[in-house]
Amino acid sequence: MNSVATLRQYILQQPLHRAIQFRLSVTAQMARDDWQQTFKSQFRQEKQWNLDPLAWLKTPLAALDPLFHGSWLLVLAGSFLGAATMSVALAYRGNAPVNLWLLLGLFAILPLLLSLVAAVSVLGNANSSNLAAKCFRLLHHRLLKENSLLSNLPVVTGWAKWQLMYFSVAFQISAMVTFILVALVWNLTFAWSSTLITDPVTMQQLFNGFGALWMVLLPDLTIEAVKASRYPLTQPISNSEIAWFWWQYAMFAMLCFGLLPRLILLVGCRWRLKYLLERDLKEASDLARLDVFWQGLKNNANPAVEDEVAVSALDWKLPEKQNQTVIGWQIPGDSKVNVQASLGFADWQSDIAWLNQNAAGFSRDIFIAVSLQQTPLAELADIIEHIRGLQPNLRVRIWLLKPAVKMDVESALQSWALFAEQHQIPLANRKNE
Amino acid sequence: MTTVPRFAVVGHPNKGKSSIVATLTHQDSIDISRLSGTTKEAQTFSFQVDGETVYELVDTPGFQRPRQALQWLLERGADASQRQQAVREFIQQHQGNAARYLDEVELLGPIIKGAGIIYVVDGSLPYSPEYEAEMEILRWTGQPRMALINPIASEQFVDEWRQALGQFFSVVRVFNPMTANHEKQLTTLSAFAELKDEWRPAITIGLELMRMHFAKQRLQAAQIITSQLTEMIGHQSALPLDERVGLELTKKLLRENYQRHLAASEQKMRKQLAELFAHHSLTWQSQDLLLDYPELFDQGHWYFFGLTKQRLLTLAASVGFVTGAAIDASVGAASFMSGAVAGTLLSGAATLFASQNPERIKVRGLPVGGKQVTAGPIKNLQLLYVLLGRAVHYSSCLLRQTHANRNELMLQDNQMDGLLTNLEKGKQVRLTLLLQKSRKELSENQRHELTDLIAGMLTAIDATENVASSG
Repeated sequence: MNSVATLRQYILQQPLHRAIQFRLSVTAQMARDDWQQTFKSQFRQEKQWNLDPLAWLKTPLAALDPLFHGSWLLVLAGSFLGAATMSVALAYRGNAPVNLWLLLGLFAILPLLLSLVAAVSVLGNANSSNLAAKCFRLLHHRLLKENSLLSNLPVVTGWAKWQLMYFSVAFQISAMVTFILVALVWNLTFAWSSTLITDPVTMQQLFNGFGALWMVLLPDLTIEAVKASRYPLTQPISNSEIAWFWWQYAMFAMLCFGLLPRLILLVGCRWRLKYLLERDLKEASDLARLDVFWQGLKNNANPAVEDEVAVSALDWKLPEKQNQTVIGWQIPGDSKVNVQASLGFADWQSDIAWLNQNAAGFSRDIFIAVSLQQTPLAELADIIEHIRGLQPNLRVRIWLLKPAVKMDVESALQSWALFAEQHQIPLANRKNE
Repeated sequence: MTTVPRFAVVGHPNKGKSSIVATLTHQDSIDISRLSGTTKEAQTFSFQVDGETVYELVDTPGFQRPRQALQWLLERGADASQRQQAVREFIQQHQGNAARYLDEVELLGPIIKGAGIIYVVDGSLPYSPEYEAEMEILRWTGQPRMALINPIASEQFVDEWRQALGQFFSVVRVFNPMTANHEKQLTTLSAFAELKDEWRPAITIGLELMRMHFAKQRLQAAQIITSQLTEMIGHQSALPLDERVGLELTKKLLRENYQRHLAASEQKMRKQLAELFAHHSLTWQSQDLLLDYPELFDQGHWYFFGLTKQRLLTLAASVGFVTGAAIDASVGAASFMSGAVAGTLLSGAATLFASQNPERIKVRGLPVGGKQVTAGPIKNLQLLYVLLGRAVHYSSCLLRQTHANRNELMLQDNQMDGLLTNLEKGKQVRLTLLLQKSRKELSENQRHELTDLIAGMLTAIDATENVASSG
C-alpha cells in the first residue's frame, strides 16, 4: 500500500476534529521551504526506509488548538442563550398567559426558517461561501496567522458550519428543557390573540394545519378550547386539560420544527464535511506533491553510485607495426580495420577454441581493437584473461576505434576507462600509455 | 481481483533501461548513469495512481556474459520443454555475491518469477549478431516479451533493428524515454496488453486510471498556479516617501522590493509544480521578470500608523463618541448626549489637526505618518498576462519533460502566442475579468473558475503536443 494512501486513510479514520487538524497540519508542514529536508532527515534518523508516514504527523497543528478546543464554548453559549430566551418568552405575570404565537414563532417557526436557510448553505456549493471565506480571512489576518486555514477553505468552512449546527441544537435542547422545567414549577396558562383573525373556527383550522404532523398523537382540538384560550381571557382557564393540551402542542412544535431539522442538519453537515475532506484528500495538490515525493524517497533508498572517470583525449589511429597482434572484438566483417579475427560474434566455445589454437603465434604486444560504440562487457575481460592465461608474458591492451555513428563519445570513453580500471586492462590509445 | 503487470526491463548494458523505467514510472529519483554497467542489482519501481499500483517495472543490470550463459544453458536444455527449467537451474546455481553470472542472475530472476520482458536496444547503433545470445536466452525463459528500440542519439538504424527484433519478439516499438509524452507512454502501455491475456484487464483499467491521473495532475497544477498567481497579483509593497531620498530613488528601491517578492512567489510556484510532476531535482533557466510598468506605482498614498486618512478620522471619531457616551451614561443621561457629540467632534478635530503634517510626529526618531509610494496590486493587463503566460509555459514544459531527462529546463519566457488561441472567446473574456478581479479578492467560486480555465489551457497544450508528436 502506498504510504500517502495510508496517510489519507489514517486521516479519515480519525474523529473529524482531529482529522481536520491533521489535514491542516500537512498543509502547514508543506508550506515550509525545507519540508523535503525535514522529511528526509527524520527518516534517515529513524533508519527505516519503509516508513510510517504518520511519524511525520505525530502531533496535529498546535496553532489551531484554541480554535478546535474552543468549539465546546459554542455549545455552552447555545445552551445559555436557549435557556435565557425561553425564560423570557415564558415570563409570567400573574394572570397574563403565555402567548402561544410568540412561543411557536420563536422556537418552532423561526428555527424552521433558519434551518431551511442553513440547509441551502450546507448542501449548496461548498466553494461559494464568500461570507465564511471572509470570516476566515479576517481570523487569519488578525489572530491565527495560519495559512493552512485559507489553503483549505472549503473544508474549514464545512467544519465551521458543522460547529454552528451544534450551537443551534444546544440552543433548541436547552430551550425545551427550560420549558419543561418552568412548566414543572409554574402553572402556565397559554393563550392566543389576533387582530385579524377573530373567528375561532379559522384559528382552530390554523392550529390543526400547523400541527398536522403531531395532531394524531394529541386529543382533538375543540372549538371550545380555542374559544377558551383566546386572549384576553374572559375568565381564568380552570380546565387543566386545555393547558396540558397546549403544553404538549408547543413541545411537539419545538421538537418537530425546531429540534429535528437541526439534528438532521447536524448529521448532514457531518456527512458533507466528511465528503469535502475525502474530496480534498484525493484532489489537493499538496498531497499529490507529497505522494510523488514519497515514492521517490522509497525508490531512492538504495541508490547506485556514479563514479567520475575522466578521459581527456585519445589517438584513434591504430599503430601499424610488424611485431604486434591485433584481435578484433565485435568488429564487423566489412570493417576496414585489419584484424586477425573478430571475436564476440560466434558462440563462446568457438572464440575459446580459436584462441587456444592461435595463442602460440601471438606477438608480445596484443591489441584488442574495439569500436567505441560497443559497450564494455565482462565477456571481453574474460577473453583477455584467457589470453593472459595461455601466454602470461604477453602485453594485452585495448585499442578503441573511432565510432562510425553519431553518439555520446564522452560518456562512452568514460565507460571504457572505468572498465579498463576495473579489470586492470590498459587503454592503449590513451596518450600517456 | 486483477494481477498487477510486472515487467523486467533488460538488455545490453547502457542502452537506456533505467531511462525507460524512469519515464514510464514518472520518477526522477531513479539513478541514470552515463557510464556502462553501473546498475548492479535489480530494483522494482511502480507506477501508482491514488495508491494503486498500475504496473511495476524492474530495472536490471545489462547482460555481461550472454554467450557463456547461453553455452551453459545449451549444455542442459536439450529440447524446448526443458528450456525454462534450465534457466531456473542457471539462476539457482549461480546465485551469491561472488558469482560469475551475477548480472545475468539479477536480470533473469524477476523474469523467471513471472515478469514480462521488455528488451531494450539502441536504435542509433547498427544491429549486430552479438545481441542474438541475449535474445536467445530471453526466448528460453518462455515469458511474454516485447522490444523497445530506444533511439539514444539518432533513429539511423531503427528499421534495421525492427527487422531483426521481429524474429525474436511479438511486439516491437520505438520509444525514446527522453521525449515520450503522455500519449506515447499510454500507447506503449497498451502494447503491454498484447503480450499476455492475463494482463489485459489490469492494463485496460490502468490506461483509464493513467488518463484520469494526468487530467487530475493538470487540475492540481492549475490550483497551484491560481493560488500563487492571485497572491502575486494582489500583493502590495510600500515605502515611505522621504524628501531627502527623492521620488525616483524611492520608486527604484520599491521596484526592486516588489520584483524580489514576485520572483520569490514565482520561484515558490515553480518549485511546487516541479514537486507535483515529480521533478525534484529539476533546475531551470529563465529570463528575469521585468516590471517596466509606470502604473505599478501610486505615489499619493497617505498613511498614519498604517491607516489611510479616512479610516483614521473615522476611528478617532468613534473613540471620541464612545468616551463621550460613557460620560453621558455616568450622569444618567442628564447631559442629553452632549458628551457623545462633543467627544466625536473633539477627537475628530484633534486627529485632523495632527494629521496635517504627520511627518513631524515621530516615535523613537521614526515618523509615524506621511506620504508613501506603493506598488501593486497589479492593474496592468499586459503584466497580468505575462505572469500567467510564464506560469502556464513553465507547466507545459513540465508536462513535456520526461523523468529520464535530467537536463536543465530552458524556459523561453513570455511565450504568449497560442496561449489564448485554444480558449473560446467567452472564456478569454472571463479569464481577463478574473485576472483583473484577483487584484482585490476572488471568491472561492471565482478561484475555481480561474483554476478550471487554466487547467483547460494546460489540457489544450498537452493535446496539441500529443497531436504534434504523433504527426
